[in-house]
Amino acid sequence: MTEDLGNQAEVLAQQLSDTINEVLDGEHELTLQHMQSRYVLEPRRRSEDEKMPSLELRLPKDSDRIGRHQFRYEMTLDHQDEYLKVDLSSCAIRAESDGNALLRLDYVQATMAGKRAPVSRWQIQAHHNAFANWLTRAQASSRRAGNRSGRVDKIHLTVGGERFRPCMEDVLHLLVTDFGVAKKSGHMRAIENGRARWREVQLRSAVRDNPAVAAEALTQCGYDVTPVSPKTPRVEQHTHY
Amino acid sequence: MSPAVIKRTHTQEDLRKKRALLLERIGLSDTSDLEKIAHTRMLSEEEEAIAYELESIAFLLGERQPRIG
Repeated sequence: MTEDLGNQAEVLAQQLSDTINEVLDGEHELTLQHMQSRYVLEPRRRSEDEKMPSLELRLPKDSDRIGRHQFRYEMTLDHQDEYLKVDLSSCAIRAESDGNALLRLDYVQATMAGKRAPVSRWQIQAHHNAFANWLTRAQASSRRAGNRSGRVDKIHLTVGGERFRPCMEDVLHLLVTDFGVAKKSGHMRAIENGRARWREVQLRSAVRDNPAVAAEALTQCGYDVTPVSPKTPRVEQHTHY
Repeated sequence: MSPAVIKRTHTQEDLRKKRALLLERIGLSDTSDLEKIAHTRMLSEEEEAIAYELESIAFLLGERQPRIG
């Protein structure tokens, strides 16, 4: 099983590497570290001086680095010891000018996330007086709400939970469209192919979580679905914040 | 696997050794010391980078995930 898990981890690493290299200008290497049944995937550290491993981002026709795309996937076996699952994925777009994370997209599996924070969330580095005013007043009225600093980046913007969260391809899409980073020709096809692959994997997981709903939907589509040895559903996957 | 993905296999021993070296670099002996610092002040750039690596090591070792910074 560990060998199979290793294959799954290597396939995922290779697919992500291919997509990144088909989208972002330049050549980018990833490192897949593992010990027994645990895997960590992140960009390759280019030198010992590099503080955090990340992909370099440049604007077209500009040799200076504008920012960095830092990410890490932590993976192991799922609850049935059959499939590779991501325990945590962490992604940050950092500005070269001051190293700050302008955007973060984090996912922590539900059992580790706690009840307050959504399992999948964007955090945005920004400032707006109206936000600050609201957040500080919210905290004054309830310790569990808002934040004393009034900082927008402390807000966890929930996005889709465990199964319907954004993928790496969504971040790459954002980088090449809104952030205008240098890209390769054919990048959009690579993004769309990778996104379709991701959503198919997530759909399979969602079906395994709640096969009765999947069977009902298939029946509505004209399929004849007969349960042979149904597994216990994991409907709670769809209720987490 | 093409050279775009470099695979590294670790043992418990080399991960623990690496963790000790990282902590030594910032004059600490235990991960919890860094967690305590993170609760009292902003981590320096180097401390933050080391905290980031320590999280990976803790995960690979199957220890509870420290959430630093």
